[in-house]
Amino acid sequence: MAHVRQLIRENIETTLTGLTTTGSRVFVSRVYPIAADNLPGLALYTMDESSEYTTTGLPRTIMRQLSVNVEAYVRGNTNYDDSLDTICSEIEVALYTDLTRGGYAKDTKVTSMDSEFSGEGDQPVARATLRVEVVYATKENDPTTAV
Amino acid sequence: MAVETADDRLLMLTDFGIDVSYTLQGGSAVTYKAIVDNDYEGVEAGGTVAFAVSRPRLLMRTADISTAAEGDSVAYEGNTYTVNIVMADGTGMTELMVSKN
Repeated sequence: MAHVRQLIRENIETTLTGLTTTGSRVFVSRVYPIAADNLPGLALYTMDESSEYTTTGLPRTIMRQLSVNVEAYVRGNTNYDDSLDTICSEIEVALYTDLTRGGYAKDTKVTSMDSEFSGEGDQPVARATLRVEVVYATKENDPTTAV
Repeated sequence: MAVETADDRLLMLTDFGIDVSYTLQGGSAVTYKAIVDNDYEGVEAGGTVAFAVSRPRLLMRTADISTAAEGDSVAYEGNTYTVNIVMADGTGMTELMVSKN
């Protein structure tokens, strides 16, 4: 059985695949650079997670707050800032369609955005990262089942 | 102070360069020699991964493009590029950072 964290990551991948601007160019935990023919595209990463034990009787319940980075990558001579915002809008709308992430989570929130631009390439490139916080809970002896 | 002459520089560009069509803003196209680099490199924009994109650069004689400025255009090998940064080295050569139109 997969960890609930993995199930949430896979749910987000499915949710964000097929968006109008980025289409099927969704990469999970990608470590290699993104080439021009894969732009505009998205990259997803489960970055960190904080845990809090919320019950005392064994096995205890762990309330977890998972941080997922959704990174949008675009390239173009003009309007690359607008393209990032369009993609961010599509991501936010898509995530909102199911805040429970397929029943594995208690809530999903987009908590921050940052962006950066570069003119080093043959065309300007830009990146925006949406920080997505997903709250879910498991028993301490069964991280594969959401409670 | 440069140790070579403008003719020496032209010889180098003739040996290693190609013809490019350079157009100053509001001007007409003129053909010069330029050494073109277009390496594929990772360009960082603060994300977890870099962009894998090409980085076109041209090396030309400063004497040929002494009034070059951002916004000029240069065409070669079937593509047109916009000049983004003009970097004269002070010894007779100028490097141009360009973006593909």
